[in-house]
Order: sequence, then C-alpha cells, then structure tokens
Amino acid sequence: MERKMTFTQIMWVFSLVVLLITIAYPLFMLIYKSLFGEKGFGYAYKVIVSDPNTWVYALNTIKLAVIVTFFAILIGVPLAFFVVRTDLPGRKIVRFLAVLPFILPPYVSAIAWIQLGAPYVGYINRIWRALGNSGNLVNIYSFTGLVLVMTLKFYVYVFLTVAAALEQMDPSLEEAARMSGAHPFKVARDVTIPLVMPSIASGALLAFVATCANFGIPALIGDRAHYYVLTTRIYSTLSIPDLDKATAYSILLVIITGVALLIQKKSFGEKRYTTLTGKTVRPSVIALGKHKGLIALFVFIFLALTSVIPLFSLFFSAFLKNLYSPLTSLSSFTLNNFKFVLVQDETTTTALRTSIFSALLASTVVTLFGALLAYMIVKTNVKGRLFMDWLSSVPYALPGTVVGVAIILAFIKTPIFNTLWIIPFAYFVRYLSYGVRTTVGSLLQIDKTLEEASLMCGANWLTTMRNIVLPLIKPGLIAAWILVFMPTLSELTVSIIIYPPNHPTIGVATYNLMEEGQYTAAYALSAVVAVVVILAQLVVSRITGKMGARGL
Amino acid sequence: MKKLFVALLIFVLAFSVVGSGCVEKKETSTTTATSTPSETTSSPASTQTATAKEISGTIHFYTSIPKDIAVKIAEEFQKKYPNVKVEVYRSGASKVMAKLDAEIEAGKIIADVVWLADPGNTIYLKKKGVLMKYTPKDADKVPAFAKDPEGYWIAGRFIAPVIAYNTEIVKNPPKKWSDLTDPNYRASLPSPWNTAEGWVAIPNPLYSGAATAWVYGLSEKYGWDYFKKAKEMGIVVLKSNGAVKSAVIEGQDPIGVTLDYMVRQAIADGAPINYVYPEDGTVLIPSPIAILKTTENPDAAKAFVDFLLSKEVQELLVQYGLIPARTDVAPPQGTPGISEIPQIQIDWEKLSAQLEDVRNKFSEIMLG
Repeated sequence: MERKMTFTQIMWVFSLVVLLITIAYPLFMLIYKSLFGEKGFGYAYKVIVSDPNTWVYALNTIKLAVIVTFFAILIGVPLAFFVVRTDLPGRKIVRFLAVLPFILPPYVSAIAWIQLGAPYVGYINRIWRALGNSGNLVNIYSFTGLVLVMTLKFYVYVFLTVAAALEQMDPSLEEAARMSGAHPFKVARDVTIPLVMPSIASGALLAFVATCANFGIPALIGDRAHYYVLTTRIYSTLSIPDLDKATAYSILLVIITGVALLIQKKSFGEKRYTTLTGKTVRPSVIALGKHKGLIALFVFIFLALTSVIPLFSLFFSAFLKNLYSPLTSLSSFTLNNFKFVLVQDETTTTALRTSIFSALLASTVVTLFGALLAYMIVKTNVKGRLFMDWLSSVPYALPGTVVGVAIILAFIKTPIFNTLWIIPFAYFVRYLSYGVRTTVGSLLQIDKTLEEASLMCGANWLTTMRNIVLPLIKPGLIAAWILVFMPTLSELTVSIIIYPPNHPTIGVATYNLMEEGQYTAAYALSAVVAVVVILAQLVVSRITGKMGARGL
Repeated sequence: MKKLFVALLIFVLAFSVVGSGCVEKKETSTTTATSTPSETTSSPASTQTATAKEISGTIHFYTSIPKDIAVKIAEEFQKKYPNVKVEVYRSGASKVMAKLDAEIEAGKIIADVVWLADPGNTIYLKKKGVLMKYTPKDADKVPAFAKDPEGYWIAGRFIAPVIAYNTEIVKNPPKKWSDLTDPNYRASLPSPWNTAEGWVAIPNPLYSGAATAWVYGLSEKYGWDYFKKAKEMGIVVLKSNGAVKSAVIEGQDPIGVTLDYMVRQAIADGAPINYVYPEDGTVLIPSPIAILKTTENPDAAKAFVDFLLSKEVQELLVQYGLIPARTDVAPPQGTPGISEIPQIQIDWEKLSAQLEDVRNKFSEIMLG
C-alpha cells in the first residue's frame, strides 16, 4: 500500500508539472501579452478597440455563427427525428451520408464546394452556361456561400446530439400523450421537442463555437467575399507581423465563445430532464404513412446535393490537367496531380511525412498521458484532480487559432520552436482532453472491487494494472488513439499558426497550394486526405460502434 | 518502478529515431558564426587569382527563384567548378527568410548565398549586419538603381507587377493602373464582370514582398485613395501572385495584378492570358543576390555570384521568361527592355523602414 501512495504522488507531481508547462503557462502568456505588450500596458486593446474594423470582424464572426446555428437546427433536428423515430427507408445510409461531410477536414469541404460553385469555372456555372445562359448562376465566394458550406458542415453537431437524445428517450411520455388521442406530429411538437430541447441547445452551442473557431472555410471562401472574421484576422495580423494585436483579437474570440457557453449553461444547464433513464429502451417508431416516399425522396436528394456531389466533384477535379481544359475531351484528364503531390513535390511529400509523424506521436502521448490523468481523476482522491481535469480540457474549448497563438508566445524562445517537434507538441496540448475523456469513460465502468480483489490476493499495484485495469480499458485507449490520430493527421487551424518553415503539415500544404493558385494539385491532395479520413472513420466506427464521434 | 522508467526511456528514444527520420538531412557543415574571416571587401580580381579547379567545398544557395532554374544553374556551375558542390534550398521568399532568420537567431548561419525576390528582405539582412560587401565581376553591366550603393547586394534579375487579363473574356484590356479604379472601364466589360465583385484580383502585400513594393509604389504615386477606390470597385485581394495568375486564367477574376514572368510562362503553356506593362509605370523590382559574411567558402561564394551575373546565366534566365539584370543581354522576345518599361521609382531603404506601416495601412483599407 505504501508503495502505491509513493507512486501516485510521483505521478501527481509529474502530471501537474506537465499540465502547468504545456497548458497553464501558454494561456497565462496569452493573457499577459495581450495586456502588457511591447508598447506598454493595454496598448494592444487600445489599438483594436479604436479600430472600427475590429468591430466589423467581431460582428461578422457573431453574425455568421448565429445564422449558421439557426440553419444547423433547422436541418439537424428534423433529420435526426426522421432517422431515429420514423420508419424512413435507408436510415443507416442517411446517417452515414449526413456524417460524411463532417468527418472531412473543413478546408477539404470548402475546396469541394469551390469546385462546384466558383464563378465561371465551377461545375454549376459551367453547366449553366452550357445550357445557353451567360454569366454565373451561383457564386460560392459570397456570404451565402460561406453560410452554406459552414451549415452543411456543422449541422451534424445538432443532428448527432439530438439523435442520441431521441434514441435514449423514455417513450412512455409520448405514449401517454398518444393514448389521450394526440396526433403524432402534435406529440412531436408538444412532448418530444421540449424533451430534447437541452440536446438541441448543446448541439447548437457546438455548432456556434465551431463556426466561430473555424479558420479553413472563412480563409478559403470568406476572404474572397470580403467577409473577414476573427480567425482569419488573427492569421493575417500574425503575418504583418503584429503579435500584440493578434493576442488581443484572440482574447476577443475567446470572450465571444465564452459568452455563448454561459448563455447555454444558464438556460439549460440547471434543469434536469429525467428522460435519459439508461434503460435499453426502444423508442416507438412513427409510421410516415403515405408521405413516406416523398419524405425519403426529399431526404435523399438533400443528402446527394450536400454530401455526395461535392465529394464527387472534388475527386473529378483531382484528375483534371487544367481547370480551364474542356471536360469533353479525354486528354484533359491526367494522373499527374496525384504523382505531383505524392511523389514529386518536395513540399507536399515533406508535409505527408510531417503530418504522419506528428499525428502518430501526438496520439500516442495523448493516449498514455490522458490515461494517467484519467486514472487519477477517477480512481484516486489526490488533491487538485478536478483542477487537472479542467485544465486539460481548456485548450479544446478554445479556438485552435488562439491555442496556436498561445503556444507561439510561450515557446518562441525555446529550442523546440521552429523545429518539427513543435507540431506534435501543439497537437498534444490541443487534443489532450480527447485522451482524458475517452479513458475516463472506460475507467468509470470498472468497479473498484475488481482492483481491490486483485490487491487482496497479494498482487502489487503494477500487476493489478497490467492484469486487470489495462485489459478492461483497452478499447477505450484504442478509441482515444484513433480519435486523436484522425483530426491531427489533417489539422490546419493550429498548424498554420505554428508550423516551422521546413515542416508544413498536410493541412498547411493544401491551404498553401490553394493560395498559390495550384488548384489541381490542391484537389489531388484533398482527395487523398478525404480517402484516408473516410477509411479511418470506418475503423473508428468499428471500434466505438458509433459514427461521427469526432471533434473538429 | 525501474522497469517503467526503462520502458519510458525506450519509448522516447524510439520516437527520437522516427523523428529524426523526418527531419531534414542534418547539415554536415561545421559553419559557426564566430569562425569567419572578417573579410569585408574584395576586388573582382581577387577571385580570378584562384582558378576554377582550385576552388572547392560546398556552398548553400538559398533562393526563391523558380526551382527548375535554380537547379539548372547549380548544375551548370558545378560543371565549371568540379570541386564545388552547390546545395540548393528553394522555397517561397518568406519561407526562405524564416529559415534564415532561425539560423541567425541560433547563431549558426548555413546559407552562403541568397537570392530572393525583392530588396526588402535583403535590406533587412544588411541591417542585421550578416551580409558581406562584394562587387561582382560584371557589376557595371547592372543599372545603378538595381544595386546597393554600399555594395552589399546586386540584382540578378528583374520582376515587375503587370496587369494580366483573360483573353477570352477581356477584349478591351486595361492600359494603366487607373483603369482598374475607373467605373467607365469596368462598364466596358461583358456581364457579369461589368458589375461584379472580383472583376480584378490583386496579391496580398501581407504575404508577398513584390506586392508590398507595388502597393507602396502606387500609394506614393496616387495616394492611398487609389486603394480606397479599389475597395469600393470590388477588387479582391488574393494571397499570392500565383493565385492571381490562376484566377485570371480560369476567369474567376478576368483581370489581375501579378508578376510578368509568371504570365509569360502561362502564355508559353497555352493558357488564355496576356498582360500589359501599364502606361503609368510599374515598380521594376530588382531581385537581389547577396553573400553572407559568415560563409566558410568565400572564394566559392564569390565565384558563384560572378557566375549568376555572367552572360551565360543571364541568357538562361531569359529563356525562362525572366528579365535579365544585365543591360547587355536582350530581354525575352516580345518584351520591352528595362529602359523602355515605364517605371515608378521607389526608395527601397525607405520602404524597408516603413514596411509595417504600409502593410497596416493596406490591411485597414482593403481588408476591412
């Protein structure tokens, strides 16, 4: 027993030191630097507050997020309802197609939509002119385009949270309403929707925060529409370079997402809805009756337009020699774009190596350290374990751009900065909470008596860990590993802030190809990313048994 | 307990191996910032005393000129100087600078010769005190405005922002910068470009040195009002000159401001694009070559810079559509000589001092 205490204490000190250095210190630096910059106390704030553009960026961010959230609810709630609670045909496919755009990195989705909706060269406009019209039918580089791409990406948050709530809902309340003669849709409106309100709210909050925090979509689509938001502004301010101003913008972005979180907590956090009983209940399925065919057709057309066609056009374009070459001639198609990004181009091949290495290292360290933290949080009662729990989750609640800025401030003078190692390090900071949360879940399921029994039988603590605990949480560890590996492999938002010049990541390389106008190469690289991510997602869903359990 | 630490150690070691596999080849050079000869000036004659065979060693050549040209030049040089190895590091100017900056910070400069796009970065290096004074053999063939008066850098080529246009859409190409802010000119374009946002694209000075020079030149000539009007007229800002070129070729933005040689390459590839040197003058940007004073191989570095300015290399540049720095080498076919291109002269040292202000001002006006 005494040995265990010592070991726990060592690990306690170790974890606390790691968390303070990797998370608390960069956050402190961010706040400190925004207040005390090179030009004295409060200067950065004075500058941004007196710059009318600041309020434009802040309001643009909020306006975009509110509108996207509104449409996300409008699409996500009914779709979840149809999938979970009705006899809609092909529900499994619907679920897969709805989650598909979500599992792709946001910049890949943006690139796919640019293919379709770019003025003049987008396929929609090419078809439009081929039909004898002139000019452009659609322009993806517009506020509407921005809302469209972001909504179709982030509605999945609402869809997944509401679907989960509907699945676990105790059907007896609805049955009671139906027994008293209410029409199925009246039941939905008066009973079901109010019961899933908290889930809608948390899905909406996630969509709101994701929209505020996203960089790839506004950078690729919004910039051309003169629609600038805080994340794109932080990035370009860093290019001036003006670190003080960038930190002040970062704090502003944190305040916006923080306020949204507070509003959601105040409105729904305290209420308790005892609908999630934990019993395995099969919610009653509503027959769609004569509308069934029509609704199914509508849902499938929607998903084809939003999920299948953009991806298809991305792959199609990846084989084009030039975007201006005629689509009717076979000589317009080539495999060279793939050869270029996978073999020839030094930048993209370096990026592939950098990203694979960084994702492997980050996901392994996050899984190991996350498991250690989770063990202390769940199985011990050491002091400050809740503080550690909270601290490890802060970077995930912050926009990636802000985490990137904080890491620059804290580590710019250390030898690790401007080397390859800063990338997995930053991913560790950003994604640590994945490792902690996933393992906490697994550990909670292990009854204390199992460990106690082992210890009573004379096994020491390490043996108990190896023989009892580790095998039981193994699926959780594997899930944590893949859940970190996938998003880090194609990460853009943090990478673009911190990447060393010789080590771009896949996300950065794709973004740069787009910005340099090497479009067909960018499409090929995006197509490669899409294939890898979809394959990885299939593996995850095998292990976790759930589609789309993925963050940003 | 011990076992755990051993396991941890093995884990860390394993990853450092994987990691170093990914890191670029370790430099074998033992260059240090302190062990350099304090050589400052040397006459062209001194390099000629050593014959091609006697000069040996490795030189690291950092550049942002197109990769195929950089590699070709290195090969040709090695043929002449069989005992010298030229290591080329080629990337965008800002990335080359970031690498160099990191080397300077670390006190271990690996680069021997740099050749970047515009004087901005080179002047920054000069102010940092890391450049060597050197007057190459044929320096007198390069016009005076294209070299540092103190002898720290000299242009190896010229690049110039031009007005490019899509030949399928634009039948009445603009002739001067002021056409881009003229509603009457825009009205002459076919629909939807006669009203659309994004009928003209320009590169972002926050990311491109050439674009910064262009913005500075125009703001000196026409005042910042030019950009206020540009914003009102719906001109879009893309990140790079390459992006503008592609956008024009595709017709997303039928007109754009980009670099002349990029357009010439695209024309050679058969893309529907053409360009004009605007009548009201462009900023002819000298692309400076400089030697780092920390070089361990000053003889080879000097021989290499002489070679870059030789007729042979200058004529090679012309084949790739670049304007040569030497006045005695003919420009690419169909392009005017540098004396015939209307110019807006700017003071590079002054621009270098005001860089942040120019970018902030542009950002305030165009990116709001």
